Amino acid sequence: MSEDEQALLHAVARGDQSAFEALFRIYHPRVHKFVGRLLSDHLLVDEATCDTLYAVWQGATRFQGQSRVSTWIFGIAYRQAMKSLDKHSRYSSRIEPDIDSDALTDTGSANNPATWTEHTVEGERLTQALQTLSTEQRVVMELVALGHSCAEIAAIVECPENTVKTRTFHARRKLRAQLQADES
Amino acid sequence: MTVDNDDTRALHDEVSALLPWRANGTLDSAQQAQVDAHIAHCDECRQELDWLQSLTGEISTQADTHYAQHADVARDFMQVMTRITGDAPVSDIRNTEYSAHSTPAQGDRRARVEDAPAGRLHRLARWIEAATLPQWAAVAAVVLVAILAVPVMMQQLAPENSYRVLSDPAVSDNTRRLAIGFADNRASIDENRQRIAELLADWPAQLQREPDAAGRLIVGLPDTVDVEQMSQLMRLLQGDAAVGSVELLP
Repeated sequence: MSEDEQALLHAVARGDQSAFEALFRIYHPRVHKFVGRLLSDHLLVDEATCDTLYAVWQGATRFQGQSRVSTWIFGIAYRQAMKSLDKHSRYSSRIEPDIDSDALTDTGSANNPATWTEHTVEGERLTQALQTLSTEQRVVMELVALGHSCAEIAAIVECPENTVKTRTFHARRKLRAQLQADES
Repeated sequence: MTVDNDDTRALHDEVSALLPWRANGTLDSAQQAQVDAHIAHCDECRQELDWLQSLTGEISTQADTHYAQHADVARDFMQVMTRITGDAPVSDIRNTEYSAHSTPAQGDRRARVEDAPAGRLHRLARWIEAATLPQWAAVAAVVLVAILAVPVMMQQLAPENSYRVLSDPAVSDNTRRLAIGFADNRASIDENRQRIAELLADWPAQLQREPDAAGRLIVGLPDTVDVEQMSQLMRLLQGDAAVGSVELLP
């Protein structure tokens, strides 16, 4: 798949519209799903998706093959989504929560499996719980759910892998706490 | 397992940090072996992994549902193509001046454009503009450029071939196809075809004789129908009560 996508992208770089259409159809759902969780407004999601794929057409000649095509495209999607969030800041917050180092060894109920009552996650409660995360935490959880490795996520959001792990850790803990609170 | 010393705690924390990627199956084989060995005797990590698999599965399901409800790939594709061809003709996009750091693909793109008649004419015009020539020579050069320009302009302005139909063996790969689904399953295929034929009366379109496996009618349009016209046609079809869906096929 990755080699096929590279071949498509090289064809796009030569101005091949059919190749662009094929790449568009592969990435439209993936990009749309990714930015869909970050931008609350459907129109903004459509706009960020189109902007991303338009940027793929424009920037195809700059792809040097140093990463997977998906990592490169998701990097563009991430920047487009962040740009949209900044532009329409009233829709969402990009404030990172304070990192509390003690939390890493926290033995509170959200971190204690003995207090967990179930292991399934229901739709509506999850939607609400995800909204309590910071944008950066939502980004990493979305990318995990979309099947990206830690190294790929680090490349997409341009930060060290350890930062990705820390954000994921806090996102998990916060989600767990939120879902537990909803139960009780 | 109880986490009762620093080394064990460190290993536990290390494995715990990797669990999201164990859940989505992207760990390398060494990491996966490390995680699997640990969760075999660590209830906490095993439960966390179960929960993460449920969590990522639900996030993924929600994204699929949201996409199915709100996204329209054909509309978005037309929008992006309109932007590509509307901001500037694709030939102009290809004609962009690239830096010395251009990749081979970029070089090819520029070379193809400069080899084109219009590109050569443009370079000649730029050379005349830059050269220091007597007045009579400049006038002669302008006349020469004008003479050269006529066939080039004629070539560029020449109408495309009249449209081709699906049954025509000469239909090119660039022919656009639309798949039209119907809102009312009770209507017969003949009724649906009749309605679509009425809607397409003024369009150079060809209806495929048989519906596809999903019961959709396929319409072929020649590549002389530009993106804006295609977008207009899709809106026309989508606005009709008989039509349930319109998809631009790859």
